[in-house]
Amino acid sequence: MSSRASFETEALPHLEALLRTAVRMSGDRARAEDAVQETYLRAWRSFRTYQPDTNCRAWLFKILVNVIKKAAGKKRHDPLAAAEDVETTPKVVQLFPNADAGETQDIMEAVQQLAPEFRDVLLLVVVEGLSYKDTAHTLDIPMGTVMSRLYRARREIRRWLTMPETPRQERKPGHGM
Amino acid sequence: MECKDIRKLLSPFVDNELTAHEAFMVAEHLEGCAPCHREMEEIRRFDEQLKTAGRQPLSGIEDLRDGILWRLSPWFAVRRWRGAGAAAAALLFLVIGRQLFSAPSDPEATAFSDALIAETRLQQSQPFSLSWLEPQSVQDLLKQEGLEAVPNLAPAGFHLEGARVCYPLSHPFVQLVYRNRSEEVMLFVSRRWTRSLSGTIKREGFTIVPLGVRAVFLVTKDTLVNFTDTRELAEEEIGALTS
Ligand SMILES: [Zn+2]
Repeated sequence: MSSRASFETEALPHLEALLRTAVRMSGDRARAEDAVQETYLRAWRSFRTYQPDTNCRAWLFKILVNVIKKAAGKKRHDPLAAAEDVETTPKVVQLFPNADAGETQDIMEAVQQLAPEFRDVLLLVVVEGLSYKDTAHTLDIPMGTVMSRLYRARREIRRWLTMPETPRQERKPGHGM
Repeated sequence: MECKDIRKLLSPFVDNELTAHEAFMVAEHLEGCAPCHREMEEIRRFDEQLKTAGRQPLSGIEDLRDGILWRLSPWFAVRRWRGAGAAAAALLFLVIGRQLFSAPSDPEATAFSDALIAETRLQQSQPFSLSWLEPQSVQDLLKQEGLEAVPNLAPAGFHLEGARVCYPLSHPFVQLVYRNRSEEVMLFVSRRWTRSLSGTIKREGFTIVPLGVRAVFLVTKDTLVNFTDTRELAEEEIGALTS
């Protein structure tokens, strides 16, 4: 198979997954489409160096995340990750920084309320099915961080969804594990 | 292990990210502990909900896909069009020239081939700076250059892959590329180029054949089996299109 043909069969099926991830990460459809296009252009440029036995999906997500971060002018390194990774150091992180935006029973709305660091891990693992290792690589954070963020994101969203009447301060998330 | 420790492992447990040993320990605990088991079921249910909600189909995927195919390379688009049995009238698009031209005695031809080689190198170093032509632009440009339509080499087994504009010697040419299974044939069309190249130029397996009409060149591989047919056909076609 030519490299173009194999690129088409291997890389293009992930288009929708990349787009919905980009939409959620960038918060904007047009920007997301630009990021996905750029992702495919970059992927195609380096497709020759891509190893057929590696995970194409994870590889594309990695490129996408870099494109989005670059577009947003953010540093690639996630400053929270190092501190969080040490499980013995409780680190206060707001899981729902925009909690005043309103209560919801809608699961995706709740996810959108999550701090991006948590939201991204949750979406990559649960919705997009990436492994912890691939997620860690994609987001440039340690695997332990992936694990702890997932644990907390799942726990807090479930609380958020099941206890809509509880006053906010009683379930203010983010104090350790 | 206590329930408190197990709870932390439930998340990687449902994700299949524990070692066999850890997974076994968790499973063993879940067998005998209803609250933890319920918690695990809750996580699974949550995941299912999130998956369903998160994977709602998006609109406009096809358009985006087409846009990406276009930007990557026309070959993608060509393959897709064929696969989809696309509308007959449509032109297929573009091409990357891989031709190497000789340095023949004709100085014009030398300049022309040098310029094309330079263009080819530029294409290779900047593969995405190419501007591939939309089918409508191809039609428009060809008309401007004096061809009523795209020469049809299908009877010789060559279909049009695409067209682009190239600028050897600062003259814009419409480059039409045709393919069969393994060979490429290119036609360069320009009404501004008024001097014809003399003779057939051969080198490194490529041949450049000036056709009768002033600024149309046929470029083909020397080894082309049906070379003559193609050339005659191209001449006939172009003759018909310009007369
Ligand atoms: Zn238990």
